[in-house]
Amino acid sequence: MRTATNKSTIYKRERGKLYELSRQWELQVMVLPAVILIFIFSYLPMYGVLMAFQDYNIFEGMANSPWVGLKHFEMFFQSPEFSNVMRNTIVISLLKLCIGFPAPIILALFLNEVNRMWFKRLTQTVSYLPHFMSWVIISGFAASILAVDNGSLNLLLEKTGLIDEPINFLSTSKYFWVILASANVWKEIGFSSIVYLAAIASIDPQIYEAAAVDGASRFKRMFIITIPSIMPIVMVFFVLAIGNLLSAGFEDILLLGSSPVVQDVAQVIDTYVYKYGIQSSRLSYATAVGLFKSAISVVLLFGANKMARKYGGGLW
Amino acid sequence: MKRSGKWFNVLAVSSALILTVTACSGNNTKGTANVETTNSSAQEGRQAVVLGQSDFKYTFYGNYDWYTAPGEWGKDATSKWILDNKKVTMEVITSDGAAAQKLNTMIASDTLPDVIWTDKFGTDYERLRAAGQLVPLDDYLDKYPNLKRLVGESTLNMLRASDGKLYQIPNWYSNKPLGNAGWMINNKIYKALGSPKLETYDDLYSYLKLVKEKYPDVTPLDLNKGAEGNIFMYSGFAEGRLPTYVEQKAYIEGDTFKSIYKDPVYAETVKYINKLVQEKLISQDLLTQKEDQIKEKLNTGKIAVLVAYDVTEPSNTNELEWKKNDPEADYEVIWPVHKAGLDKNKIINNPYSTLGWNVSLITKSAKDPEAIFAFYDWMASEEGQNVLCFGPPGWLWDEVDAEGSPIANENWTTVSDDEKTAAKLFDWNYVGNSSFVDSSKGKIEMTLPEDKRNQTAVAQMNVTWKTTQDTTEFGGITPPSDSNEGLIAQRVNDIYTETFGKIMFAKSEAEIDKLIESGYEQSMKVGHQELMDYLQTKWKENKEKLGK
Repeated sequence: MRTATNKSTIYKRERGKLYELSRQWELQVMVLPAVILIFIFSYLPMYGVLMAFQDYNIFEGMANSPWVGLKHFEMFFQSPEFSNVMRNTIVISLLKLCIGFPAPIILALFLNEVNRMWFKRLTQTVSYLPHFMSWVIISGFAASILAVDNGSLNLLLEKTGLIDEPINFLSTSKYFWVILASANVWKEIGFSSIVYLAAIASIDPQIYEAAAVDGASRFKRMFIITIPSIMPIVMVFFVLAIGNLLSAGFEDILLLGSSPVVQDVAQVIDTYVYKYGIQSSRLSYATAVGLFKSAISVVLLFGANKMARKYGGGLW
Repeated sequence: MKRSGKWFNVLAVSSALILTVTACSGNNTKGTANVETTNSSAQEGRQAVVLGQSDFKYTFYGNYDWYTAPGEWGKDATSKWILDNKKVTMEVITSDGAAAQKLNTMIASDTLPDVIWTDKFGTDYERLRAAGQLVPLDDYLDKYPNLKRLVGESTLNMLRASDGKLYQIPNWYSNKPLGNAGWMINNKIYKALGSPKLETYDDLYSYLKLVKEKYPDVTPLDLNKGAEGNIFMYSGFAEGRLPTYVEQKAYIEGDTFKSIYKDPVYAETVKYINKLVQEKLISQDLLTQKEDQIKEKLNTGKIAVLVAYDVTEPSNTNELEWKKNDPEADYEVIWPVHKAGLDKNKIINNPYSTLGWNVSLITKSAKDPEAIFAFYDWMASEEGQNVLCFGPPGWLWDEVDAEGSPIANENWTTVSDDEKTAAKLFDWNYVGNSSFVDSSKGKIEMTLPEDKRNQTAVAQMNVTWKTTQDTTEFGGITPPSDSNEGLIAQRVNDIYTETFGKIMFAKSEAEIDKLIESGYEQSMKVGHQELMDYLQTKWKENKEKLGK
């Protein structure tokens, strides 16, 4: 669409719009439910953010609750948890971004180089299965692998002589971020790599053949052909990932970070909202903190998109 | 072919959408329909409701994450008898594991249940009351004979709200000591190790070391989930120390609330527990293990000593898998272990309140609140309690004695535990009278031969009900969670759990002292003093009300 620059093409498109729409009306009807769904479930409930500026009383409803301006935002900024929660949210998100984002790309690149079809299929299946398990199960795995009494990892380290006595992984603050990031990579790496594998599959094989004829090694071909070809897709996903930067996660942190000892590194915005807002019926406070998070996410999304557009990518 | 495929997709997607939209609007209409069912409570001069004349149904919501319906009303012997004779149906609404969200949804959509079963003086009670959503019960109290007589004037006064009216119907209220918390040992291991003296903390330490040496796969000491047992260990380090002090993060010296971090008894307790953790005499997963893991260990006899909120139930070995394969398998509740030199009769593991455990609230959604009250009044009566706890008449008992307690017939011992469980004994009782039920149970147990007695009842009578103290004055002193003090309480609790966890894994006594000091400073910074002042004021008010 951005290619439409001169007046005549614009005119042509304007006139053709209705015609084109009527030609593909079945397609438009298929889009319509999605649009309505998004409108009902994503746009309509948005009036609820007004609660953040009220002392919301659940019995009176929004119409009768008193307006209090930015009181709840101030409360959050001045709360003793604020700095800790923000630090954890940013660190955990960045960890997930720096490790969780490139991991599936690397997996896809390597899988693409595997010649044996059965091995490639097997790896793909095995690596994407955890995606379909809920965090309750994954955290159960993690807890039993990392347990002090008879935990597999502790047994392994002890048997190989690397440690003298078992480490209490789940109750030690310094291990929490590593455990969280690894569990996330393990759960999502396979499923996220599917889209990159699809992108790689769409590259014209002739390019590879030509490069091979010119004497490019397999590594060279990966760097000069595969990576540049999937770059647009990578950029799109990167922009989306930046938009989710403050969504450090919820279930994974709540379940893996259940030990009270790790709370100082495990409390993020979402778990904070759940604990201090929803569970204690401070609904306005919860909304204010949630809105704050969304506002920053939108800014980040626009920023990332602007940057991505400079390099030819971008969502819009 | 291709075209028809496309059509099918369009159809599928749009019908899915229509379904969603209609489901949505269906909910909405339900919501508005219920708004009209406002209360009609103030019917002056109405005759007292007589149950059993016409069918009557009400909805009941258990405001707890863990709560599930005991079963379908009318399918088991107990509720069927009530349905047949009183024509009352109780429809249970469960929280599906998210009680707070469910209640909020019901409030926001005006679909409150007729009865809410929740914590006494809880946040939810307070906000429902403040919003005028609850039915005051004072008018009914005099009209119906049982609740006022059995609960007693002073307990009812304590349950009254700040506006002077009564909204809460107590559950498991009591005028005598009760409680299930304390210490329990694995008797098989204990006997195999020569039954050493197990009275003081020094005895305990050497016993646990012995267990660890001889039974490496057994957890020597378990504090149950969330290491809850620590508060009972605390009360064993000084005479007259209430476990409540740790729970409210403040101990009372003279008449003043002081931070738990400044309590020398607390420091001594956590240092002792820390030593046990460091020497692996307590599971290293003490803070993270789940209830199921503990149950599994108990079921297989893999715990040597347990300290928990409820030791009387697990001590009833007859119901355990372990017992089925091993005739020697046995748990026994023991007198609380304590610091050497203390009077063991002054160790308190079971602070109890005459107000009982929790309450039922009748909401203004109820079409006929008086009928619900009449039913509660009947349930509270001796007859009601007998049916709810010991089954319908003519099954396990036929007659009652002078005090209304049932006299067990021959079925009492011959009917299997499974059958009793299937009859949902105790499960439907939401207005339990501890004094009456416990004394009835006790009277029956004492008429049975020793091997037929229920170990739970025996343990309660011999130990847990003797390590008690009446702490009714602490009832309802905690601030509502959405108030300023409530926010402080939450922060203080969070700081406490984290500090406690770190203390458990600390490597030296100096480190523990430092952690305690830092816990103190952090809590003071978020307003602990303000919270303690609040608690103290409320506590003093209660004491005045009780005339203590």
